[in-house]
Amino acid sequence: MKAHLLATISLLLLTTFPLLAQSPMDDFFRSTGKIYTVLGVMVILFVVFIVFLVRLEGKIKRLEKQIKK
Amino acid sequence: MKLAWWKLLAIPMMLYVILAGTLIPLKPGIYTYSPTRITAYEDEAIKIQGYNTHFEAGETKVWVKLVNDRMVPAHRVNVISETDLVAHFKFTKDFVREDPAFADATLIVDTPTDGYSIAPNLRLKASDVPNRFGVFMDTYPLTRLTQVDDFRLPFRQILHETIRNTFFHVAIWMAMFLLLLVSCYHSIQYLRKGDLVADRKSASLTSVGLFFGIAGLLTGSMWAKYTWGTFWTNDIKLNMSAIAMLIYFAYWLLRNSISDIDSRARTSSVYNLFAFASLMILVMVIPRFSDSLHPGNGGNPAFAGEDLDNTLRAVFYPAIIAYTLFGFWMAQLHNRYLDLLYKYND
Repeated sequence: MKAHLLATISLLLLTTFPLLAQSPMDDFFRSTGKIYTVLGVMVILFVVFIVFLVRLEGKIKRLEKQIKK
Repeated sequence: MKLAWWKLLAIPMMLYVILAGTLIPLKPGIYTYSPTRITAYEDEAIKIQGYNTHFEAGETKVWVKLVNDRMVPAHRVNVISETDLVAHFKFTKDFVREDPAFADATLIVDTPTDGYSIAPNLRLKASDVPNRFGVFMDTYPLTRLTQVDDFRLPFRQILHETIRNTFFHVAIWMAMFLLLLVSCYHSIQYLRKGDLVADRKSASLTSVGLFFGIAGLLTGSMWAKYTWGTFWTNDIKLNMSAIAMLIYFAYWLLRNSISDIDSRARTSSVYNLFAFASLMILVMVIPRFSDSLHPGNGGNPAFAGEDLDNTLRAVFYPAIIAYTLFGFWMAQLHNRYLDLLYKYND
């Protein structure tokens, strides 16, 4: 279930990325010396760390359920 | 609860990287200028837009550096604001006899407070009527420029503020290499001693390393979009690192598809060593033989000389350590889960 969700989210992200390219977002990421590109990169790092934590929590929950049974 | 010393170290280091990496200002630089082509014997006005600059009327000098490392001064500089000025040039001599069409020159703005900033790729066009006046211009040596040493990040054309991604994109790759290296150490330990604890450690580290690698690809893609123009270029280092990530993804699949604990440990340990060797060859060796948009490829080692200055180093090295420590922390949590799972299933 979790894996499906992750796959869907990543697929969505991948398909919306090229759409982003033709939008005013482009100008936004280029404004003020491209500082928002750096912000974007930091957000991506943060999201990857969060995905790791969420996955780990899911695994631990499954183990806890097994132990309870 | 008492945290281990290296976890306590990871927290302030991470904070330092985020704060120093975003707050240290960029050195002043030339943002844009136009026109980018000027012709000899004509009065040319170059409009220059600066970034983080403090142009001052009377103090700011503008130069054009010629291919022979001599400089020609602007005969009039019209400062509009701290970041805008117009420089008037009149070249009374043809620049390059060998190539009469265009010669590469560099535009230099020099202010007493900021020091000098440069913009490459100014094109000088020789006149159709060579040396019309027979006058030789006064040129000056490069020592005329003001040197200012301060703790600021270098200003680079196209990169601008994204030079800060060195601390986020490049450092996360370096941390990934360290994590995967330690993972290999544990794989070897397993193969030597047959201790399943070592195998689980290696599995956790590889899993975190894979996450770091995915983060590296995604952040690189974001950075590429706003400096190289697309999310994915056919740059050799990009494709090779994508292949390396697929190899590690296969490790993850392989590990999850073998149910017998001992054969899983043995197979994945051996595969892990193969994967790390391929990673090194694909990402560190092969790009050196080819041209790449990444710095340090096509022959030279990365970060030699100009690519990484001392200000960048002061944040870049702590960033690698901070991410590596965080990676170990993440891997340790994952490893404790694996240990519990193993004990429970026993």
